[in-house]
Amino acid sequence: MRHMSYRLAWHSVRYTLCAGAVEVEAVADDEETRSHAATPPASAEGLLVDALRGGDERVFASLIDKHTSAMLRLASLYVPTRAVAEEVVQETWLAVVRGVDSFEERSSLRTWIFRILLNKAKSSGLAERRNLPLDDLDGGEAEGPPVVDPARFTGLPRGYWSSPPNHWDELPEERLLARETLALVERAMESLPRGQRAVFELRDLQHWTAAEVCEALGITAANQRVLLHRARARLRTSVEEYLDAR
Amino acid sequence: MRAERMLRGALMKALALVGLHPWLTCRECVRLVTEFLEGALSPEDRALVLAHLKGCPHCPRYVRQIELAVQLAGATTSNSVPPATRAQLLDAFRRERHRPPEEET
Repeated sequence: MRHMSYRLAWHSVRYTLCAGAVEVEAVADDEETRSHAATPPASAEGLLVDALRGGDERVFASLIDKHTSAMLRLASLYVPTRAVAEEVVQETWLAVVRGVDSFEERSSLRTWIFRILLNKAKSSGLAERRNLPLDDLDGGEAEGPPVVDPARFTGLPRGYWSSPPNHWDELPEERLLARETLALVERAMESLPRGQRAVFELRDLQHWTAAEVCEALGITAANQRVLLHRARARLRTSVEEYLDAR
Repeated sequence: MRAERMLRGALMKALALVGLHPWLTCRECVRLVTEFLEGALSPEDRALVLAHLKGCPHCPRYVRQIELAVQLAGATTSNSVPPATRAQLLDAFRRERHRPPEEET
């Protein structure tokens, strides 16, 4: 497996926000470690798959509730209309129900489901003659302009902020969560190139691990990071420009 | 706190300028931020980013804003399923998986 060497550990940075002072503290989020420790020989996932095979409707319902919405958004990246995306999602669930007996548990269940989804969405997109080049998912975006305008780093000495981030993060929560701001964020997300949008959805909205995203989308760990990097930076810039403007 | 940070940053920058101390520029820090957050940096680079974040008056804000933008994106996203779609899928599930037991002969 080509992603085996990729380290799963997700490090997050925790900040204590106090009057402009920021304490940086690297926190190793041992979600992986915890899940390994908590995983009994018959894994929770294995039980889930068994229940599904046995026709347990509640398990199927919980899977639908958890994934359908994200599946719709992902499928929409490849097909021309919402209706086609819905069809693709329905077909995917049907394929899951029919195929769960042959699911080999070499990947996680959700990775498997989303791989089916993406295959169907891509072939459906091709059939609709609306499929855009796939390069944004296989490295085409790896090279590109810096995520922050180089003109903002002309401070002295060179490479330091000359036009540092404005202080929008200190705005009151009502402002940040105002309907207008959220609408702007939504538009910014929708305008992301497909690969960035897909990675962002799975990593930052669905909280998948990097390895799962790589497997579902068929991209390398490095490419996954680049797409995530660009997506997050673009969103931040959009919010900054919007909140700075007024 | 802020004064201390700026002082430390200025000192590091000065040492870096005369080549006495490795020090990232803000541009480099911004470029590495996702690899840093993903835990994909070598220990040396990771230490450099951490040192920069401790001394820089602006880059910690950049990282915080990245995280905040992600949270805002999460706030716009609903994971709800249209009831009609849900009902249809459950119907399909019943048809496929609840096959009536085979008749005994």
